[in-house]
Amino acid sequence: MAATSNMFLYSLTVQPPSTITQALLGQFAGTREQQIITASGSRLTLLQPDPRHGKVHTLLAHDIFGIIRAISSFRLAGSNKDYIILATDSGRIAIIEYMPKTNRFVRIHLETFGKSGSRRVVPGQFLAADPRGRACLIASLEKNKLVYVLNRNAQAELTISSPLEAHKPGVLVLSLVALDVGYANPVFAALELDYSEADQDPSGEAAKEVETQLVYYELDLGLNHVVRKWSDVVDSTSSILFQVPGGQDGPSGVLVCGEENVTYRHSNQEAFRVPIPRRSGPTEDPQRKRMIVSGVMHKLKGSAGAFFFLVQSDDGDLFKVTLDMLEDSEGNPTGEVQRLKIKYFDTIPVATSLCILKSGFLFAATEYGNHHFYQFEKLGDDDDELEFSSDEFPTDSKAAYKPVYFYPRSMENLELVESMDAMNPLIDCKVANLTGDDAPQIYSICGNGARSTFRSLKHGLEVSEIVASELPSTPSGVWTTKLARDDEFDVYLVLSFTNATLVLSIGETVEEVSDSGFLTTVPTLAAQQLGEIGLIQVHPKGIRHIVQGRVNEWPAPQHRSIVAAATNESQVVIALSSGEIVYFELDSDGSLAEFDEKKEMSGTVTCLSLGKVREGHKRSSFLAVGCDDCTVRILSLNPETTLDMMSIQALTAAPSSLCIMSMEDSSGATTLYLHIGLHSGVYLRTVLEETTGELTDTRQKFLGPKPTRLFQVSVKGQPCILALNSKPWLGYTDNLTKAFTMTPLSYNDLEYGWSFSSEQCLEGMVGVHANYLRIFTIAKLGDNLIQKSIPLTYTPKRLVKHPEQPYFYTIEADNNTIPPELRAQLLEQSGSVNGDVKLLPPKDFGYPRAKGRWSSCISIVDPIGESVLQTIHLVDNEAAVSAAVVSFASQEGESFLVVGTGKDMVLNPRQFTAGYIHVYRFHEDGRDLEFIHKTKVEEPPMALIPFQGRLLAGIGKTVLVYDLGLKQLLRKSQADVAPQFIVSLQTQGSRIIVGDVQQGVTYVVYKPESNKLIPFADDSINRWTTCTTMVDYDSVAGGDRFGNLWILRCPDKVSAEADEQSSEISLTHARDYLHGAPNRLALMTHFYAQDLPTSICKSSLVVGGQEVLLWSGIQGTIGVLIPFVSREDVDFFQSLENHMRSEDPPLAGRDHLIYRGYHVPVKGVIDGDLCERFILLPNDKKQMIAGEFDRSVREVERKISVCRSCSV
Amino acid sequence: MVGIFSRSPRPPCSTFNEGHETNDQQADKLRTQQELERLQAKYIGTGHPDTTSWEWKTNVHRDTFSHIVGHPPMLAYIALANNEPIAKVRADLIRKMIQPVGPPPPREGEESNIVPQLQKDA
Repeated sequence: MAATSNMFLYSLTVQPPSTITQALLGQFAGTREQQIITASGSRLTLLQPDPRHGKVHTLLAHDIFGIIRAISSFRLAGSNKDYIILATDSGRIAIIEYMPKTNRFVRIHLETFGKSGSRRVVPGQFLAADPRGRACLIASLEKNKLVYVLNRNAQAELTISSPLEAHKPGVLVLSLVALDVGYANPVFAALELDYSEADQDPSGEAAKEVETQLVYYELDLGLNHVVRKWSDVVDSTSSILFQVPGGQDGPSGVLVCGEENVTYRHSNQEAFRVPIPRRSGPTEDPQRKRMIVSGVMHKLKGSAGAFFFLVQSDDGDLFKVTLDMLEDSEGNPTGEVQRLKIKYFDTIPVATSLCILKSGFLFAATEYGNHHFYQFEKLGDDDDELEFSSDEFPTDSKAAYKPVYFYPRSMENLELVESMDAMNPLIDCKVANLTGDDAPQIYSICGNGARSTFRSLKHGLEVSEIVASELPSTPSGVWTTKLARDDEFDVYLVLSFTNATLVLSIGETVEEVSDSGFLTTVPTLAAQQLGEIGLIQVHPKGIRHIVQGRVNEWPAPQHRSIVAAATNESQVVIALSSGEIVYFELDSDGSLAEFDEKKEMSGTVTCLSLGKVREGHKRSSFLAVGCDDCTVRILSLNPETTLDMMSIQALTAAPSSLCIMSMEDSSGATTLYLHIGLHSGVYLRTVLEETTGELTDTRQKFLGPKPTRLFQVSVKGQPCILALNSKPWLGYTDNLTKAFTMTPLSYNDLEYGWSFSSEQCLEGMVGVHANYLRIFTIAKLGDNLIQKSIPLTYTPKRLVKHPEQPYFYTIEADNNTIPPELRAQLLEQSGSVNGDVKLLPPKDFGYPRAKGRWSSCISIVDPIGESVLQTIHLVDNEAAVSAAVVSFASQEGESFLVVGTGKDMVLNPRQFTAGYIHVYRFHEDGRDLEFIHKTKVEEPPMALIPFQGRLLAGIGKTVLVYDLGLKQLLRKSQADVAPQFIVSLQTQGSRIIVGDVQQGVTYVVYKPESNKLIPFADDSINRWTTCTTMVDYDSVAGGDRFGNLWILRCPDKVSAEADEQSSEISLTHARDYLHGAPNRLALMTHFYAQDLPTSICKSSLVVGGQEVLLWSGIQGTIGVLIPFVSREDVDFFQSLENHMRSEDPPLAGRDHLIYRGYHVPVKGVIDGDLCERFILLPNDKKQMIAGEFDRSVREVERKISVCRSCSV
Repeated sequence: MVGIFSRSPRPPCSTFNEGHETNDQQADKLRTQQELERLQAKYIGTGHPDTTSWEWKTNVHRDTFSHIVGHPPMLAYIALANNEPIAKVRADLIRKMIQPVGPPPPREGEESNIVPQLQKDA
């Protein structure tokens, strides 16, 4: 990082990418349970399917800081644990083992073979491991293939050989698998194209005749070298291979899949081919050929040689493919294949990977949208679906054959049991506060085709409510208690009102208890189970100790009342209105004994806390006392030093609630904390030193405007803190990051809370909200972003918000899709012939496709009502490409929705017949749209924004200013400003920032006097801009197509000159600098984010937090860039990042600094994701790094957590 | 290796040493040249003084396609815009690498120029 940068940002991932590039099944924990490893972006995630509940849990997610391109697993003979091989952009092969005890990935081997980066001839694109775990082959797209021999040494450790080369220049690889050959020499099969002849032939004939070849590479284990053993020409459209079981289990070989073609091939077998059945239906093109995009082979348990394939076509239809073996005279199967069969199985969304679990589940990692977890109902063995066999089809794909058809139907063999939220592709993202909460929400559009969704993301934990019952009046407090120490569940539920107490019994039914011994005519301050058997009730006038029906009453001294109380299993502390503290402890005979001294405090006591008695101890040795003089004191309760003050802490406001509670810290041990809630709404967590009672390492968070109240609860066996403010919050240790996390609950605000445990609900919470009693649980602690989705019609392209009302407008368009009017027409035509036609829901089956057709619409989304209010379909093969809400000054500031469209567009090479700008008027506060007119423009306008009461449109290379006329838009000004094609526009004042598809951004100034648009500064390198936003008047932040995020700034002098009144002439006559604008922009920061940024905006995400840059990526990533305020912080994090690079180097061997500077050296950005891994380091390394800073480990952890909690 | 990369580079630029080279200098030059040829064979696309416009363009296009295939987000971006499955887009891009910018230009007459040079080097 250049030390000269004067802008520094801290990059954090708010939501990791949800796309799955590959999923892999295996026994990674070394037990018989199967896990799924997924590669998403730079993350390796281990998923644990739970067949009993039909759920999938995330065990571990690890950012490897590199692009994962392929993963494979292997198992050494005789072992029952799978290892993972990673092929990344590091130029190295990494072998990883999962350690279930520590829940970590550990790297066993890392072998360098080439340059880093995702290059044409550096292996890493394809990876295949021998099914017996003896070797693996890693290949590049072109030329290079390396084979590593895997073995085990005398210590039973995994060894890896030096690589064996199988290079051939001029050869491209399409697909690669390992052959199952039993224990014969390992063989790998590759689908190859040889272009070397095409490169020599000027006539171009050779290029047309390039044949797709299936090539076998054999590793001779005896001679230790690789030979090209066999090759044969296959169908020219082939693109994917599947392994066919071999050895004892089958005939070996591969399935070669291409366009309308699934062929079985092997070196010593005949070829067998079946076509991929086409869909039949009134809206289907009978000529369209399908191809296979993914698939899985599954061996059936028990019977040797029984296996089947599920292959998926580009429509999402699953086909079951089976092989029949030739039988000998006695009816036993021989090793020869007789025929190949295919039949329709079910339809699921298009997947990148399919995994069939032994327990009868199918995990489908879908290309876009939610990943699905299905259960097999049956295997489609004995249904009446048509089966097609290779007997009826020629082996040669060029030979004539009759295409086969099937009727798609709803799922019969599979049943969806769980859908895992996935935001990819995330196309646009806006931050707004529509619900009136403290913190704003993120609104996004994602998904594709009929599975598109509008999603709102809210920071919070999902709560499931069990009971909500109305009470006669509003209680001021609620407690649950057991009756005896050995009770498993709570028995009594105690409610306190202003002048009464209600005791209810918890059980099958909730009934009032009359013989509880509680004084019911007074409010209650505390209720607690005490000692072996006994109950205590603290009320303003005294303490009642109830043992088996006998009541001992301790009255408060005259003219004084009890204002605060704290209790645990053996101790009771009360504070009197006079500021005195009275301490009681349970005697050995079970009676409550008062400590003879009262401790006088300086101010009025507002709250007390004792903390639970720890296992094996007689008492809690600390008492925390909060006084209204803004202090917290820690008093000792040890017998020798009872009520002696140990420490005091000054606070910014009077404490409203205290809680001494131990929690798990980042190292896995438990630490005692004092949690403090303040009247100002701030929550503090400080470490309470167990020997000295000192308070250290304070972390704070502002929760809301009300006084904070704290309660100890338990979720998933973990002690958590429930903090009540304008919203309930839960403080817990996150399982994956090990960081203390404070997350709001997605629930009503509560006045009081307590833990709740009964037979039906083991770990619940009870709370009071107005005059309602609510019992609820928290099911999952991992995900702290709550998603709500509203289905959309087509792939969304842009999202715009109504300027005042809480409505969003999306434009949606799908290429190569039959529009609804044509669909209806086709249905009508067929309907007249066939009678009734069943319509398949597009959500599951997709829209019917036709080349060159566009389906497009505009939707009005109501995120609060969670519905789409109106959908306006575009006709005439027009598709929406851009949208903006513009308030026209000529219409007295009335806002209009402006949508840019293109007619008959072809994306590559770019073609169209016309471009239009549609204008819609808002009705009913934006709930309804009325079409006004459309204006024909030169090209489809890719960028529209409001500009000084007019519309600014980026059309091709030109920016145009339009005003609204009666019949059409009126052109007011125009200028050619971009070198290629404008994709984004931003404006402030008279300045316009134009993003070009290829050539970065250009700053343009509008001169109203002469109505001219003049470009005055542009970029020094090509940035394939996708999105931009203005950070300030001179700076622009943006993302490009290669996955970079950057900030550019216009030099001060240039910026000032451009805005001068009289600068017009000098600007128009300024000499071009190196074929560009007269001035250049300066690069402020640059960062490689891996994901492709689709939107970026500047916003604040938390109450009182600073503004951050929020960006979204196509893989579903949401990240933030937080500006650093102080130079000290920059220095600290810069050197922490350096230490982390050396102490926790990326798993796959990619150099972190080079990775983050993939295209341009990283500048001014510190990788927070790497810094946050500090918490996961082993203790000695933490100590060492913290030592370098002369700080304690806790201080370093605090600094890291503050960075996240202050902004996200 | 036969092909576009094995063509010998231009004669040395320096004219002062012409005809007066010692054996050492010649051996050095040979070594440099062998090293260059080795690199050109190892890293496809490494340029040489006679790189033609077609070779350069072909290489750039092949590099671009392999870059897209090697970066899943870019592949998803293109696939999404075209409304095609990612697997199909990937296969199409790899197929395009065969001849991304059309056939090579005809090389009449060039053949005869190269042969004597090769002989001289040998």
